[in-house]
Amino acid sequence: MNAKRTPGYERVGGRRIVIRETDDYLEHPGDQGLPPASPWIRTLVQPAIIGTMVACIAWSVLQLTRAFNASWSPVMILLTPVVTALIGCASQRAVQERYLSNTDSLRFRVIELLVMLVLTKSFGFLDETPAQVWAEIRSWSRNPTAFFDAETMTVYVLGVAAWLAAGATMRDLGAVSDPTRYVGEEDPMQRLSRRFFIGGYCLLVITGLARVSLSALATLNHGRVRGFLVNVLLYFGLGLVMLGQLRFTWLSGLWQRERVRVAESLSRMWLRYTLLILGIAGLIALLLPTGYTLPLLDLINYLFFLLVYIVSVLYFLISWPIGVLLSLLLGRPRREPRPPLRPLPVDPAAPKDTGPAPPWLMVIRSLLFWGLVLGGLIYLVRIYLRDRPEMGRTIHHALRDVMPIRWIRQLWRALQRWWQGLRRGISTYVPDLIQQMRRRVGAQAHPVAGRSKGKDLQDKVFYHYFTTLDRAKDEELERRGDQTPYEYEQTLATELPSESEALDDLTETFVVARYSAHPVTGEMVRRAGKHARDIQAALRDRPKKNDPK
Amino acid sequence: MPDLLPILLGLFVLAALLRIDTYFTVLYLLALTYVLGRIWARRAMQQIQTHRRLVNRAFPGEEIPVSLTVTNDGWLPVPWVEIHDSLPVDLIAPPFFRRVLSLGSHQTRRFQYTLSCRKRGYYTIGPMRWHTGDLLGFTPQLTAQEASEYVIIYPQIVPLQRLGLPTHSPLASLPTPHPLFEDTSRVIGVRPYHSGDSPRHIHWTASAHTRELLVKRYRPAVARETMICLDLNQESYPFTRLYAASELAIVTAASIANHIIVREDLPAGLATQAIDPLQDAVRTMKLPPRQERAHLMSILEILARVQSYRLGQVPPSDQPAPLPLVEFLRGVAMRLTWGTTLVVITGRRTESLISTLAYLNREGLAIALILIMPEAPSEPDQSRGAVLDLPTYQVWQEDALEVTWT
Repeated sequence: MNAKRTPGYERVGGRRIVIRETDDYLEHPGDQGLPPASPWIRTLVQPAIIGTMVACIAWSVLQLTRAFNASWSPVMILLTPVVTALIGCASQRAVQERYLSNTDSLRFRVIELLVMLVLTKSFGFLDETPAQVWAEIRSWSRNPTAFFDAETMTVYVLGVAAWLAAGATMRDLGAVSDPTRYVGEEDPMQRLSRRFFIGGYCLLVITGLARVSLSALATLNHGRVRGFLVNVLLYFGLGLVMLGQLRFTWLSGLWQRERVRVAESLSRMWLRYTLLILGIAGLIALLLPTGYTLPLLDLINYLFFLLVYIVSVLYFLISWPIGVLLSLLLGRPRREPRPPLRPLPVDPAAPKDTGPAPPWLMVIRSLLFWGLVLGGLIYLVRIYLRDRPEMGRTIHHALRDVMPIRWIRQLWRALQRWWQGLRRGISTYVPDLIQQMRRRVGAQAHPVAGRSKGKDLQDKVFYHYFTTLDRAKDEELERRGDQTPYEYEQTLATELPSESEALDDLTETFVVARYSAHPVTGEMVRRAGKHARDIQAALRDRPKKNDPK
Repeated sequence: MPDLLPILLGLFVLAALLRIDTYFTVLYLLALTYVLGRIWARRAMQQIQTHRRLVNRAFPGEEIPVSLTVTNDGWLPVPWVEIHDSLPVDLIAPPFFRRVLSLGSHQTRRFQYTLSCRKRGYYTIGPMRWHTGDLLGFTPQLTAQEASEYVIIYPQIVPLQRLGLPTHSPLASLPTPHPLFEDTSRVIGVRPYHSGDSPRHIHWTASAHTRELLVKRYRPAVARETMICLDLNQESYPFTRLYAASELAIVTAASIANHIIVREDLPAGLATQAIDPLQDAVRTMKLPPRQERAHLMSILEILARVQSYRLGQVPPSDQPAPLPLVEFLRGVAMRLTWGTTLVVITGRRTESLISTLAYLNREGLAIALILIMPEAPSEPDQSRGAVLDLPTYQVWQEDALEVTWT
């Protein structure tokens, strides 16, 4: 029989059977490394990302040209680089796939450049009326140089740059996925990341020039530029995601070449973790201050007073009821305890351009900022001293006997001990507490409602068996800890002689599901469910010992 | 990946000059991606625990299943880790086990592979290395490794008949004119019963047949112990067939030791000079004759790892230089009790060897010379051996080296 095998499924005789593997890494004949990348990634996703990144830069160019010359066509400026980048991607793929010779490739490129010129010019017509377009076309016969006006040529140069960059990027993307393609060249990952950062710098400079005038820049006399520049964030966000994926493609290419078996879920996990790390970094980056922050000493001052405030509030909360009780007992006039101190205002001297951010957000931002700055500084010094162990030892010996340093060290050690004790306490106390709560909840809640039926057939058998046990427990027929399922079956059978067959079958099914390697079938689950319902009903209807009947 | 520090510095300068909020955000994003990726990779590296489980002793033809466990001990997931276990090429092809996987928090993955014990030896399994790194490639890969383990594949053991050797004298017990012991397992006849004879020795069947009380006569024996002397000097074996000859010598020694201890239930010992891979030096290895099964395993372990040496190319070490065979035999014989059988396994019969063996024979040792050579010894050599009463056997059954898979 011809059996077609795809990961996770097997097609046998026209039927698709789901293959359940306990481990992704079990031996699959012929399964070496990752499956080849889907073709639509190369034909669609990669050009789309490149086009978007080029659009981000083109948007900034548009802003800049508007600042200098508002009459230039925005459609042409925005559309030309994007379209030429897409053409570059497609042509690079075509050249590779058709194995064109140098002469053919040159002819191919020259024609493409000419087509791009025509396209650039035609994009300029998109925001003009047909009459204007016709008038301009007629003028070309009188003055052919009118075709090559400054606007067209500038945008065309921009488009050619985008075309070249996109083509080179596509070539490097191919080289990353197949390292054998360009052996001996510079690492394509290096070229790609360099191109990404150069593009990023270009974007930042162009955006900056569009926002800040050159004269203001020369005198350094300009205000802050607020708000989010979406195209800049999009460019760097997309670029970082792409770098992560490229890193994976490059490594998986190496693994494939060395015939290393790679977990099938790795590509999915890689993307997930890349997005996670970028998400966390982005969130912190958005929280960090981009303008004015509280000075470090003011921040410490503020935190100190905040601490004093919290302590005084606690003192107030504890002492006030005691004072009230004492005044009632002793009959003396009640004296109101001193209300807690108010924390200091955040910073009255904050400049006006701090905006409407609430003080707590400013404190969090400042805390984050100074935490990162101090952490970075300490890390830098640590690495510096680790690279120079002699200097580290000398400084250590010199500072060891200095009194304040000694105190700080003692304080630090005490803090460390306290923290370790706290961690130990939490790590033992919290699980105990959770377990106690679970027990209490388990004892109070309805037993059946607390159990999950599960997805597997095996879990479903467990569910039917254990809900029966729970029902029996309610009926004061609890299974003892030392009883095996068979022994417990005898106990129940003496109480429910009419259900002895159902009990026998349910117990047997449970034992098979729990302790044997035999597969659990749907029929077994159905039978176990029926028996469980019958037994539970019999348990409910069973005459109670203290029943008046 | 280009160095990120200059890029971040340039970005900072640009952001500070232009005072654009988004530029600071981009700066933070890049810096945090770098720092978080680095911290994550380092933490992941610390959290990974690996464990290899295997039975480290086997006979040729057996298979050793190896179980690898990779565990993430922490809460932080491990985005990717590449496991590389180096393995001996003699036991598995390709000679490594590699996997790339991702581990969730407190997740464990188990893998299995099988080592095929094709030839005897002392093999290193591992070290197992694992690599991980950040997801964007900003930081270099981190590597850690676990210590190696060792597997001993014992030499092939074959029946002595397959090697063309007798299964009794002179390898276990030899007849002697000085009957210190009687080997009750070797009946050579009957004699009439005399007063004082043990009733246990009465041959009831023969007595019933002859209607006269007869007692068994046993083969007298003195040599209850056997010392196997294995010569692994490469010069003693034909150069063109060095590997087969030295391996056959080892197989012969192992088979004789197994036969004497297991079948005959008699003590056997081993003495050899060979390269010991544990010390990477030529060592003298001696085990005095004993008859426990555990002792046999000790003999087999030595025979599993020994390698032949060439006198001129001995690896430098603090061990004394190996002795010529005759001197070595004399040294070994000094510690043997009278009547012990000395089995010498070598590939060459020299005049000095014959003289030494004859001398040792006169000193009270029973001698058996086993020659590992493709052709039988020449006639003059044989006649000389016969004159000196030295039992000599030639062994060249290359099929004894073939592994039978179980």
